[in-house]
Amino acid sequence: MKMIRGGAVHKMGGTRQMKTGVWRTFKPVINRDTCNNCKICFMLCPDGIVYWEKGKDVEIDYFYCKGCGICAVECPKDAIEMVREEE
Amino acid sequence: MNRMFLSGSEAATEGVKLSRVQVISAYPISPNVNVIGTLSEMVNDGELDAEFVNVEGEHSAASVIAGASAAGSRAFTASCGQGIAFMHEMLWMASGMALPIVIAVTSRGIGIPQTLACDFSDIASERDASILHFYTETAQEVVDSIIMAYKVSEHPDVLLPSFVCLEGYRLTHTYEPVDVPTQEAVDEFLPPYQPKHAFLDPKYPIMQGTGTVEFFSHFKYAQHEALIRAKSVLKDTFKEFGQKFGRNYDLVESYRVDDADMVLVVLGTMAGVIREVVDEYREKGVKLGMLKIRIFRPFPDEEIRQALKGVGKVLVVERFNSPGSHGVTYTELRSALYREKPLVSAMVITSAELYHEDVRKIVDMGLDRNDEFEEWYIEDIPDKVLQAGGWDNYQAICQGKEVEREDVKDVKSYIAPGTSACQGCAPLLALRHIADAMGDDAVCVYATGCMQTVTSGFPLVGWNMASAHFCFTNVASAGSGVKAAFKQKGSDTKVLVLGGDGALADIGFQPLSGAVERGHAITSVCYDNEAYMNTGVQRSSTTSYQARTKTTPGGKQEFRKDISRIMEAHGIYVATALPCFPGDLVKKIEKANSIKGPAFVHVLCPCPTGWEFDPSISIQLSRLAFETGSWVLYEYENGERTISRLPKERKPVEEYLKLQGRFSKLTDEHLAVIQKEVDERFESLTSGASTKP
Repeated sequence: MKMIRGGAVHKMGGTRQMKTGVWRTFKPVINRDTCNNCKICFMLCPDGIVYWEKGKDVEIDYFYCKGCGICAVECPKDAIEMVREEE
Repeated sequence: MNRMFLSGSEAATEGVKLSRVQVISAYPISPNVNVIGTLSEMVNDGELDAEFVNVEGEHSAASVIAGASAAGSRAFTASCGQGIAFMHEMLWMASGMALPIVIAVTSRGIGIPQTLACDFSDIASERDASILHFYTETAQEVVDSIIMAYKVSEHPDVLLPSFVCLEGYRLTHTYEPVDVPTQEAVDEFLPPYQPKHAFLDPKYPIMQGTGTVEFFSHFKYAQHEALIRAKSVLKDTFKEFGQKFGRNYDLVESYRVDDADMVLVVLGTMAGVIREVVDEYREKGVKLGMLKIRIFRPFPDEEIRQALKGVGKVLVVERFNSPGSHGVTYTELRSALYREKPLVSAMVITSAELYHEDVRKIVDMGLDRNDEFEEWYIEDIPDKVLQAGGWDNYQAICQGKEVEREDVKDVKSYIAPGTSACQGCAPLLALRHIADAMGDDAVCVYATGCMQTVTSGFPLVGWNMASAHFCFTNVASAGSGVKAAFKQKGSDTKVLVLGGDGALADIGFQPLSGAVERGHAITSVCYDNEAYMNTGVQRSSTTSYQARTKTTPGGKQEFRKDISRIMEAHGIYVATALPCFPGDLVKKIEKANSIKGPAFVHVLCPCPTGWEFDPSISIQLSRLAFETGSWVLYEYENGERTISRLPKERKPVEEYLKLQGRFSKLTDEHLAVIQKEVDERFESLTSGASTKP
């Protein structure tokens, strides 16, 4: 029987494949006029799924975003709105 | 008699209630949670007059009921898997002391791998502990077996503990109509427990639990004899039960065995499916039969011989294999049938779910073959699952090749996205900051709990850091072993020991204290969500006063155990933190890592599921914990306390509590008591302490 004895997994971060975005009922939408890219949404997102390229705007990774709404509540500029997902 | 629609778990609780159990101990381990949760409600509602004791581990769960039984009371607990393993010593102690406790084993496999699948390894591993084994197939059998177990266990000719096994999920979580006996009828059948051999009465002092070398074998003989006598006590009890309640049981149950060419032998719920396949084959003219073993200890060898007389082929459908030898049922059955010499084969299914199609395959193999065989009902792990688990990497290092670890190159965090944590999970937020603060020369050892469950399912794991999950009970001791290994090799690799409040303040507290006392330079972090959340919200020692959980339906009566203060008493660096101040948390982790000795960081993490609030305010709640003084942010080192941050104006604790559904039944009186406690603790921590500049 082929297996790594003890069940050790030799590949890290496999959960990257899991599209937890399907859990959402509401999705966070950033108002670019109000957002100042302070990155508090990233600091306080439990899953840490806010990304940005150097010098560019923050982006929410909707593949993973579970729609918990913490970013919307915590944004100091109220720049995030939780919008109901379409069916 | 009342006809009720019950799950196996609920049936067990009906049995416990009708048996008028006096002391119940409770420790959550899925899937026993509905048994202990329902019993907790029954006691809280006054339906059952029993002492309900929430303990800090299964070792204590068994000890509490052994103590109660030694004091002359009827006692009960439910456990399974590694919980049974953790109470191993107590089981031998209890049977040695002749204490007739009854334990419902909501059977699940003993980890590692951590599992919820049932393969009877928990109960079968205790088969030599002089305990009676009842295996049940239906919820009906569960309620009946609990009642009968007390009657048999407490019989003067027996005086041994009993296990009543109901399979995890298959039986605990499925529903069926059950005839529940009336209390009057059970009272007539099962009198109160009035031991003559073991009790604790100051007016008639006796001494229990003696030691002996020369007479040790006599005690063992007495236990063995008691189990042998238990067979006739069981038969008498079954007969009496049948007369009184109309359901006839026996040590084994034969189904269409009389003229069978082949008989399948089984324990537990599988009998349900197998019985139907037997009928199916009989329709086709194939003479199939089934023998269900209901009582496994004492082993019913004579009854098996009688039932299988003249049968040519016996096929054991085996759940529990003894590695390096043969299946447990198979070995004992084969030994019982030695003289009759039928062909006895085994199909080892371990924890597999058997559907009709599976049983047909097994039957067909048995019918086809004319040799004695032992096969495993198992398929290879699919290649894509192996690959996902890093099979390629493993093969490469086995062959001495250099491995390009694409999976860890360019990762943004040591905790990968896509883990199955709840929406708004504050422990996950804390974890990703903590893990990332560990730096690139660190490993993490973590305990069973929420953060373990959501990140360590095979083969897709949520870690990008070298890490290991051992048990619930031992994260600190396993972590100190890891550190010792690094130390011996002269490596400075940091070790993060991560556990929840359950793992570090309760079941794993002794190892934490030991590891810290020994001075290993490990950073222990407790993510405290104030309950056993992973198993469905049962109270822990750090659950807040008056909080509602599944095992404190009327609100917790005790205040939080102040685990930080206890760790301070060990003379080490202790810091408290909150997920709303990630910068502060990271600094404290870095400080803890820089210390040449043990360090303990305690993070309060709100849990939307367990505390009952909208996930979006998870961080806001932790901020309110700070602003109300319910959680004080500080560092303690060398006898000095430094407050990290103080709220400008302390808010009333009600602002923090009113947002949490678990406090919805708080009275003004409770609130006043809580406010007083918060005020006193805040005062005692902050007065005389220096404040960070």
